[in-house]
Amino acid sequence: MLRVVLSERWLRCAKPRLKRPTHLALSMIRAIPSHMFGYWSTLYLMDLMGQVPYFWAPPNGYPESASYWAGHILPRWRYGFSMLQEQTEVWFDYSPFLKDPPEEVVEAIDIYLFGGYMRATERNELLEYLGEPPIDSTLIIEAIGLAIASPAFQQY
Amino acid sequence: MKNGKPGGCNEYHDLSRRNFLGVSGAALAASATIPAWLPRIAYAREGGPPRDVLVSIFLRGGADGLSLCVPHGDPEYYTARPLLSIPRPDSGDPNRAIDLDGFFGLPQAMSALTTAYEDGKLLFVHASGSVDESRSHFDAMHFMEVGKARDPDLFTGWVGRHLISVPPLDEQAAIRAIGISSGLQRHLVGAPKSIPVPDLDDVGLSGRWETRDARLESINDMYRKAPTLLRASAENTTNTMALLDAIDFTSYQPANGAVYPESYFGYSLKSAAALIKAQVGVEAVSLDLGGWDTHEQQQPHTGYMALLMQDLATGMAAFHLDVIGEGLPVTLATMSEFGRVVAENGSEGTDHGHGNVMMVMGNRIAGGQVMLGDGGWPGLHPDLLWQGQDLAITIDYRDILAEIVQNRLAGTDLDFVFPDYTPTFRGVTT
Repeated sequence: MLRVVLSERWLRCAKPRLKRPTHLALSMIRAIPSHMFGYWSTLYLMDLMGQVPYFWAPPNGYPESASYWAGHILPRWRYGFSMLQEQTEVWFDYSPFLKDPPEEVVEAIDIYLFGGYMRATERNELLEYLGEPPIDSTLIIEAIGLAIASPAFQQY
Repeated sequence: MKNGKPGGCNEYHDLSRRNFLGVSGAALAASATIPAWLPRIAYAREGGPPRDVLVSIFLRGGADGLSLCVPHGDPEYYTARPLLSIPRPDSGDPNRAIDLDGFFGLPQAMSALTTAYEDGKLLFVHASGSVDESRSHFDAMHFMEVGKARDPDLFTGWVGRHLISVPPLDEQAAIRAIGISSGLQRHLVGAPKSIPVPDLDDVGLSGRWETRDARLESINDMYRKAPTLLRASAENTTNTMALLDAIDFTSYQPANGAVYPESYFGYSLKSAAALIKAQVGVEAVSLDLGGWDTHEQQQPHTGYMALLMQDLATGMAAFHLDVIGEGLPVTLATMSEFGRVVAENGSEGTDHGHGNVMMVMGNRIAGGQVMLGDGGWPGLHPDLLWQGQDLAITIDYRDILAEIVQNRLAGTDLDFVFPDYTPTFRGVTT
């Protein structure tokens, strides 16, 4: 039975699930080369998204359903932009993304954030946002923020 | 909740940090000229349905109702609280209560509310609350906000279910309920077109201002092909952002000389007033004022709790002048998860209790009185206390809210809003 349930064919049938805030926050930090030398700003942003680990009183835990989290999407959109562009205790190494032309930037975002499975919707949108070369590094960082705000990255 | 206090219990600190993951013709005539702070919003047509906008204020932490509305006519109050009681109105003490009706009074810190009370717009409902026995903040807040105790299957809030069960005030409204909070308050959960916003004047994307619109457009393009739930949420959020962005909350000028306190609560209440006057179809606004878990150093006269009560009272008084005084159809209600033990503890504080006081304010509210249950004041003699230590509850909070829902919010399905409960209307509304 386990073989059937865990088969690739079966797993592909599973619907994507919305990441809970902690999952979203950490998945971004893990996806982009980074060094974390403190955590308060990350915790603050996670708090704004509605989930700080271990702060839901027992006996139950933070809700698992997408319907609970989906309505609170603005801070999830803001999270990536804030982490990348504001002063936090996480240092991100953008060098893998600082490329030209835009296709190579998007390719790097695909590899680091989506494991090479970025959908055409996100790809086209990022390309359109980056525009024509030469590309300003600030625009590249914003494109990474857009990728984090995208429905594809918000789900798993 | 920006009013946290180190003295609260551990559970309350946990909950506070989680931040909680929901016109009258005269007024229309007065608003014939669209003010500068409202540049792109048109006022609604005259003659809409007679429904109020609900403003709910949840006093998180378990507010001490015996300090908020003082039973100075009950001698047992002074026996139980030698240090923390508010002196009798005739005592000559500078901290003496301001008499309301010969039996109850307001502490000096709440003196700002006397005008609303004397104006007949402010009602106190004493010895009220949730009859559930819980002394846990988490459970008591949850049960109160969902509108039913101890039902593990009930996840939505009473305001959320009310809004589901009635047609929107404005079919075109982008938003029906706003929680001025970083997480949607439980009582709003389930409400269609509802969103939590901690600061109504700051709802944009973070990052560079110059690229904000372009980034938002890209995000919206991506979400148009997202699963239904995410797509709907994105549309809702974007519409709300556009709507709130059009209102200049910072420049909003309250009417009738109202001055809101310089606090997060005051700013939130002022923003709520601006939002209501914008008449964009919002039907419910929820605010939180935390910090009421006063286990130690309660200081109801001049210290910690006095400042908290002052923040609450001056905010509500400004709202009375600014909104209620303009004749707008708005009902404001305050509640807290439980009251506090009648007797003070050894740390000059009070512990988690039971019965409490609610405040209701509005133009169609039977204000100017302290409402009690059928048997009158239950009394504070030890023999009369609930579980030997707390003010007994003689009015279930749902009686008050259900009457507001039906008579002021045009609710038609109380069984749905408050499941398995048959409310008794107390004459809260006129």
